[in-house]
Amino acid sequence: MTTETHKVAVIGSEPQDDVSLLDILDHVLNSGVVIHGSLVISLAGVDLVYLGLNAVLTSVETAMRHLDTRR
Amino acid sequence: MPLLPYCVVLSDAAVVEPACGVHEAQVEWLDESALRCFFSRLGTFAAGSAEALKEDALRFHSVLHGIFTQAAVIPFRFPTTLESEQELRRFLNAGASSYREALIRLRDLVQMELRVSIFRAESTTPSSGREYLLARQAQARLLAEGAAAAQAIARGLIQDWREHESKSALRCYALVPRADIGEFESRMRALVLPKGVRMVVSGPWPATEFLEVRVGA
Repeated sequence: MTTETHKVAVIGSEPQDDVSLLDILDHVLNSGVVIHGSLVISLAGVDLVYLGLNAVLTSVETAMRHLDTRR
Repeated sequence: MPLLPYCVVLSDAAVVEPACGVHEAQVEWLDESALRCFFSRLGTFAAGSAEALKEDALRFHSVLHGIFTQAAVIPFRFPTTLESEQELRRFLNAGASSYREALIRLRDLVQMELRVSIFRAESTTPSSGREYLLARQAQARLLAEGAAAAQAIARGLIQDWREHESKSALRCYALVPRADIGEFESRMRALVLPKGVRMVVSGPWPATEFLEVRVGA
């Protein structure tokens, strides 16, 4: 197997840099218990919150793809 | 006033909750069915920018992380809100046995995440479908080799392992004893990967990939 040295980046779970920040957002938005059936995103401005969340999700995914291809 | 729940722990876990949470709201807790749930009472989320939501999400993480450093947690996904304490109690009660089993099983374990991807110096466009498929196969093989190398070097530390393929990477989740986080990171730093493969290791995270909870809310 052909190898090259050290392409492993170890980051924590504190927002110290862009990568860990993106990982944190990814986890907060995509991991954890979802309450089906009784989930209330917001009592007011549902559409806006949804739009906002989608924007965050999109930017995280885009940024992660960008980081993956750049490194 | 609606509640924003952060996470659930066993009610006998020795946890000191952070004082303030999302929107500077006090972090409170309630006990139900031998579970303790941390939450804040919020008005509505400020409808608005992705930046504001990002700040809220980071604050949510900060509370979660502060509790997770002290005990195993089952986090709620941000932004889950419930209309009342009664609704939260009903939800906890419905899944209590499943939650307790998971929290006891994962009591001293954390999740480390490994994102394995291909490092490309230059991008080439496949000239045919066959070439594309061959390239995809080669990429999948490299990612699998990278994941296998990580598993091998951390042998003895990993209690369980999960993998999910995404479009551009292989995401691997290692269940590791909390006491072995430093050793796991140290071994990952020493890992030599196949040529063209890179890996980002993050954590510790709550072991959400290893949760098998059934809840009837």
